[in-house]
Amino acid sequence: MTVDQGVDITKNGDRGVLKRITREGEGTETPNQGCHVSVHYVGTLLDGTKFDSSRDRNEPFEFCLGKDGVIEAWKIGVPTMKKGEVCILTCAPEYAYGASGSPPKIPPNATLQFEIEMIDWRLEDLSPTKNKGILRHILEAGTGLDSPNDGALVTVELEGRLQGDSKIFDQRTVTFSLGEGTEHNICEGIERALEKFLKDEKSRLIIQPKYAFKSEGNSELGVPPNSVVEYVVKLNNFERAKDSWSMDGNEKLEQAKIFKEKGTNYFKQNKFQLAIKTYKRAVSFVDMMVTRMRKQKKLTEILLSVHLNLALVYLKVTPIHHFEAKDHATKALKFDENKVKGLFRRDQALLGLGEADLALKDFQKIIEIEPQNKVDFMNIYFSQAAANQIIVCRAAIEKQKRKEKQLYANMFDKFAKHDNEVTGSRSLYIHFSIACFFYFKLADPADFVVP
Amino acid sequence: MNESVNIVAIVSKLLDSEKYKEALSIPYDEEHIENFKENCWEIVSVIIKKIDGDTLTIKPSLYAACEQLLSIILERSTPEEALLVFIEQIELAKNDAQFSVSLTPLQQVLKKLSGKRGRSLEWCFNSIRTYIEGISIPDLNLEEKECLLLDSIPNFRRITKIYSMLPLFYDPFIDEIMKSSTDNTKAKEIVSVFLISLLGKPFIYFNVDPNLGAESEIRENCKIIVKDICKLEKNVLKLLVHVDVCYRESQNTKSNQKKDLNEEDPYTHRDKINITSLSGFFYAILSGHFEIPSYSVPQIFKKEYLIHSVMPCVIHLLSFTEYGPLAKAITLCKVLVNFLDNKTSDALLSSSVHFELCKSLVNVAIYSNYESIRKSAISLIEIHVNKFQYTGRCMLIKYLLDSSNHSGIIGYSITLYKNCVDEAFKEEVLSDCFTGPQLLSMIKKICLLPHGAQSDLMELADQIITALNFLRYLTLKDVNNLSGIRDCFTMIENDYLDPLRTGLNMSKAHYEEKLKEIEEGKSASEDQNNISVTVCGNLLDNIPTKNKKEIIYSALNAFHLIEGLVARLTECINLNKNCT
Repeated sequence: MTVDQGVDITKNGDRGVLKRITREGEGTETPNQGCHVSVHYVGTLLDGTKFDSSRDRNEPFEFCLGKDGVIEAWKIGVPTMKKGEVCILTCAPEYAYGASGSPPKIPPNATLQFEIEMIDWRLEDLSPTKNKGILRHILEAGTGLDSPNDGALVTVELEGRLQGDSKIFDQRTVTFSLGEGTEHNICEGIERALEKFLKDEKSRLIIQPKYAFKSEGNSELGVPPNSVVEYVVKLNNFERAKDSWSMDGNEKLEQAKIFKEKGTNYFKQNKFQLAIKTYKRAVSFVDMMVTRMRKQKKLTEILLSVHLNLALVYLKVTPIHHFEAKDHATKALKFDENKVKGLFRRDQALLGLGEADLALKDFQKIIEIEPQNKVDFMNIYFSQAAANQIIVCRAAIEKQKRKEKQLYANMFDKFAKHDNEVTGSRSLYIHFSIACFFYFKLADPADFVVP
Repeated sequence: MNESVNIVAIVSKLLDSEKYKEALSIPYDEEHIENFKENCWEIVSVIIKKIDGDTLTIKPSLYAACEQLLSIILERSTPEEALLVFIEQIELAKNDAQFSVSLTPLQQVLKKLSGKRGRSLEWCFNSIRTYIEGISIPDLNLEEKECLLLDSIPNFRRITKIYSMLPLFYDPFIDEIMKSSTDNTKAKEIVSVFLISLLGKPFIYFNVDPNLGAESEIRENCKIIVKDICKLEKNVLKLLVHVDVCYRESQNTKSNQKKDLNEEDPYTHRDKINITSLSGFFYAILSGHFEIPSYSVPQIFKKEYLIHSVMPCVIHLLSFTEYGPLAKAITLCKVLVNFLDNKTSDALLSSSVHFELCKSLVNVAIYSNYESIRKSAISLIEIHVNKFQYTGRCMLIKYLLDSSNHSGIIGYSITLYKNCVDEAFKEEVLSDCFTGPQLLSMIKKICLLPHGAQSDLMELADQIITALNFLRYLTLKDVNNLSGIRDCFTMIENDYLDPLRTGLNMSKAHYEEKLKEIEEGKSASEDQNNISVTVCGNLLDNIPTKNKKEIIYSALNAFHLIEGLVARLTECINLNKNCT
């Protein structure tokens, strides 16, 4: 066998990497950047000396195409291989270890030959927890170095089908803001993947239900619940949203306002999840912002209203997120501790969390504040609502107390019974005092009026 | 009831009174069998407590009896319980003999638990590590061949001895893993993670360099450990991906979030796989100090990838102050730097590791306690810088000038620059980075008097002398103004030489005055000497007059030298100007 055998597969056509297939692979697919490839290989020098072989290790060699730094010849050669293919790559030193070689095994200026067997590859996993939720197979590589970011305006061509089904359920070209895809029936998986796309990239995405249409499915598109979907997506164009660190104070305030309004719109359309997302984005612009006094007022205004709105949205979503609602209301109250709306929402959340005592305190505060704000009709509404709520609270607390009292009373009976059986005045005394302690703590003095 | 309390005491008493046969017969005694079984865990701890550091030599029969008793107990008990008891004994061991005597039964128990080995094996390894970590390592200020003495330092000896016990302990499990046909990746990982952790602390403090004339004892054990890791992992470069993660985690210790901690993956257990243990491991693999099976280092990776992945280990090791880790860092660094081709493209410098390496080397070169390390660090800076193309070299030298505030290092960097220029002049076309604005900005950095004429010339002497030397060289060499040096002359004259001359006159006058003061009025100066200097709580003596004089003379000498150089440089500049 001569050195020169094989097809030149270098871009420059300098015959630096020659490939000769000795066993054809199956299918037409080849791995691409980002794939985890597993191969067997035997590396020899031109005089036939074997310098390295995965077969000696008795385990396939695995690496990530494009990430782990394999030699240039492999970078070019391996992505051309089909599954099951065996080929021989002849690599000139410029595509291997160059003028200095890799002592002691590879001498300077050595041409290397690799016999490579492509065993298999795993597609690149783009899901955040690497649980194969979003797999990408690049069909056409993109250009440039930049990818869209959250909030970027993207234009994509997409074609969706259920896995293992040839019927296309979704085919269109659509422009939307990354992060607001649900508005356009675009699932989370595509959005997450797009953040890794380059311009003009065309890829096939295999998306698990968790990142697609979940257990609900999508009736509009005709996607049944819990289905794995497969999309071919091409990123035609995009415009990156400015990162918040690259904006100055005014821009940040401006952006926060825009997103706040967007969020309110979504809220009005009952699109609560989107509203939460956009409100949070609004917060992210200005949350860590430190400004001088002049802007401070504007900043507080925005944060106050966004947090208030978030609290409201969390109270509206199903299931109700009481805890988050309480959190955001508390944050809002930090800016204005007498904000009736905030107190009211926090109380509702607290009530939902079963903290009736705390809620009662806040409701009472609303009533206290109310007289000072007589002119404000909104507040009157709140204070009346609060008055109603106080009744609810009291009832809840009452109910809770009654329940506990019952509990301790039972305990008391039980102890007494137990003590009667085991005659021991000491233990009786102890149990009695425990039970009394709880009982008196809870009971009204009225309970002790002898009839 | 009463008997059961006694059996522990009985065994204890028999052992104390050296009646070993009787003691050994107790477990077989009909009337005690049940009793013995019920109290065997108490007996274990009593037996183990009998053993002192010197028992094996002074009372070998006691030791043997204890061993035998333990093995009898082992036979009669459920392995799950025994496992916990012996793990406890390992952790509580008061001396190495107790540790050693508990190790064998522990191994036996583990062998019995073959089905569900994973977790229990991990626990055992953890307790062994806890025991090893409990042994403190003193810093002894030994360097080079003196390190051979480490073998006779008590705590180093203890660790050596423990390391020698370990292969016997874990060998059966490796064998089992290698032979087994079923998938046992988890067990394999648990063992190899433990072995790698052994190459972290305290291994890095030991001397394992085979080039010192004699081999240290621990080296033998480490050889076995390294070989076993290779056997298990096969392709050891798989572990490269963890270096980056660990290094970054070690850098921001403040935000110590354990977010992606995956219980199931032994490689995420940071108590074992951390930047220190990986550093020790890659030192062993790449330094050439250990024999590595040829199959375990695949020849597929680009050398740049190797360099960038392993360099954080070097940087980490350089952050220690002890000789052991520093010596390992230097060895590993040499290997990595030599991976670089001559005239490496400066595109490689987009990775910040090269700059971080420079910074760490400079730090070591200035502050390390060990002369040999300081010297190697300096020479590594040079080798590293010179591996790059001229543009890359200039970037690194600029970094050195900017980041160090030590006159000696700055002077050294200027010399490096001078050598580069000299080399560049030998080529047909002078590289762009030594001409025009690039040269000018470099000269500005080189000819820096931070406080103009009032700068402390004594402190800056090294830098000033090399800077003047460099300028003299360039004016003499570049008669055809290839570099555009002639355009810098005004700048040099006005911004550097002028203030320098003024400064020289002032400093000379100042020091001569001081000299007079010392020679004339000794008593007067003594009155003023009410300042004392303490370093680490030790009062420094006042400098004796003789030494004071010496200091002043050496300063005056330096000033004269600088004066001479300035004069010569002015001459050369004039020569150069007339050379058209």
